Amino acid sequence: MDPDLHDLLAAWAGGDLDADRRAALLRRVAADDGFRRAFVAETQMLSMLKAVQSAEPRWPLLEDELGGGPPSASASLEDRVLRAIDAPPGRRSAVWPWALVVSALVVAMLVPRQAPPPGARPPAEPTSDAPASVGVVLKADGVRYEESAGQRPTEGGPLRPGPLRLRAGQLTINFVNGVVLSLQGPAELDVASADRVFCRRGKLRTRVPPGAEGFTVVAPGSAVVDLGTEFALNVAADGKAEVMVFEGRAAVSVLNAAGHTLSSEERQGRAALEIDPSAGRIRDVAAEPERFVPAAALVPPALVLDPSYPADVVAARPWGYWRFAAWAGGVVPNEVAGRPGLRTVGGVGLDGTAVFVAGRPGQYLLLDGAWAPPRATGYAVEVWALSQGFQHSSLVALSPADSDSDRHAALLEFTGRSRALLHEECAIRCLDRWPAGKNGGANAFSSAMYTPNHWHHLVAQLGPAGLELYVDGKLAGTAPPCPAPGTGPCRMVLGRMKDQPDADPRQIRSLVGRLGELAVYDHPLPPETIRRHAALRAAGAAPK
Amino acid sequence: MDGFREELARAVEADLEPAAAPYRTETIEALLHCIERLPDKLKRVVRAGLGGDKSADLADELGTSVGAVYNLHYRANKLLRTCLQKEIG
Repeated sequence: MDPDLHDLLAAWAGGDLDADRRAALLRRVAADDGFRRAFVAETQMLSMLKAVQSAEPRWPLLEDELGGGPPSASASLEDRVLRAIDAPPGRRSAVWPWALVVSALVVAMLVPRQAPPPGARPPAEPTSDAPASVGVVLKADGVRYEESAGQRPTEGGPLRPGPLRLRAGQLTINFVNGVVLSLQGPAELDVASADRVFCRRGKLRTRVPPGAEGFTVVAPGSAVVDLGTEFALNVAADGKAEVMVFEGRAAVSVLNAAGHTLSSEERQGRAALEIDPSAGRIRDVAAEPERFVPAAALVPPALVLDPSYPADVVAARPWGYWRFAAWAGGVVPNEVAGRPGLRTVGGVGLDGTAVFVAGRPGQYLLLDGAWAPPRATGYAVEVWALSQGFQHSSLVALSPADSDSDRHAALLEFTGRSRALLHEECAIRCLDRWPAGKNGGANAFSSAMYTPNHWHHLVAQLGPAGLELYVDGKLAGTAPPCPAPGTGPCRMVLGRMKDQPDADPRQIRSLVGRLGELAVYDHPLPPETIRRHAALRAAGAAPK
Repeated sequence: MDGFREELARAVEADLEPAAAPYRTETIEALLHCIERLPDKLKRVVRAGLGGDKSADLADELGTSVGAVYNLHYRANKLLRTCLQKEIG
């Protein structure tokens, strides 16, 4: 073994080396590619071993690795390694998601405490994304990041696992599981996954929807598990923490240095607790909600378009165009003379957009007639859409008028987080399928997540090259054309996958959000038209 | 993380992602098999490393020097890497 590598690993692990020796090692790391790769290979193996050795990886182990301190001798790691080694294959498979998270974290968090180089690309745009994203930023109010922050997500941009270092401001994140977390600076948060974060210090507040129970915030010496709805946590630099449960249930624990629970309490309803890890104590205190991060005000923004937008749509010769500005007798008129309107069902609200509220899955709009999308020559569906959360929801659904409405010929929808479906998570999907049916066809997915509470301009169209999905004016996904010819008069349902009842909400996919300016065309739209329409959102109204 | 670790992390940043990229779920599955196959002495070293045992203590226990412990670590990691390459082709 190269003595320099020996010394470098020892120093990395916290061993004593004098300043000159450290400087010499750093110089060699910078100059010697092979030496640098050897060091990375060693640390990489350590990360993998750490990931594998624990069926329930604990944050303090990560902290040990990242913070340079010695791992706790109290953890019976040998037993856990042996357990992992001796476990039958089925047992082992249960650790993989955690193991991968841990491995990814160790790698991700080895690096990030540095400012980006001058001229570096700014954080991702709203539609840029990577598979590792665990959520998006809903709001960034006065946010300033520390210079050393590893990621600096912007409003509408993706959030990835790794550290967030806020100097000031309030950042509100929507995780893919629907959890909404507001973080107030100064704060240091490490995002492990959509289900788990580590708060080194700072103030945060979470709202956990049904289905995401178990969202966990770990802090130095404490942890809070949200068992549903809403709590806030303030973590001081000395590890003392204050918790306030605003609604629902939360479990609060004091942890020892190895991350094991020393004691825990569960509170339901409005309650406040103080956690002192050094004393191993949790005690009730008077609730002072003003000491905690206020709930994020997530009011859906209005859809404000340039006054030239309607004329531009009409100039593109739509088969039908509905503006949701008014209705008569329960029907939204078609701006194209002689074509059918959209019938409102279940009390859809209209305010210039169609408003679908939570808890009313019976809301939808139904074409008061039929449209036969000309599949041989191409067609397009254009709409502005806003979802209030990450939820699998149908925006526009076409099915042959003479069959059940769950046999689809075309779909445009937001997908959600679902392990039960093959669809990509929290993306935008369009489908073309003929003959209409319950499966098969061509699917195009956006490569990026959509952003809840933001308006997206969407175009799903079939053209000579195949199926195309445009998001906010950019081509976001394509698929080869569904080869079968044919078409027929179709019913069109908005805000729901079908107009017939179904006991399984996954087969209804009702939208909680808004739709605006729907147009359907008997031809595909040129890319420049799509770009222009998307750009006609009034200045200052577009997502940052 | 002290200044040395920060500087070191910056220096190896570009190498980290390529190094991590080949590791997939199957890789970690394979790693368990590889750990099983390690000689007992190397298993002991791996365990000690994960447990945070001080190299000096382990050296005492094994009746060897601290340098030799580091060499055992290095050898164990090398064997694991070689084994992994064979396992995952």
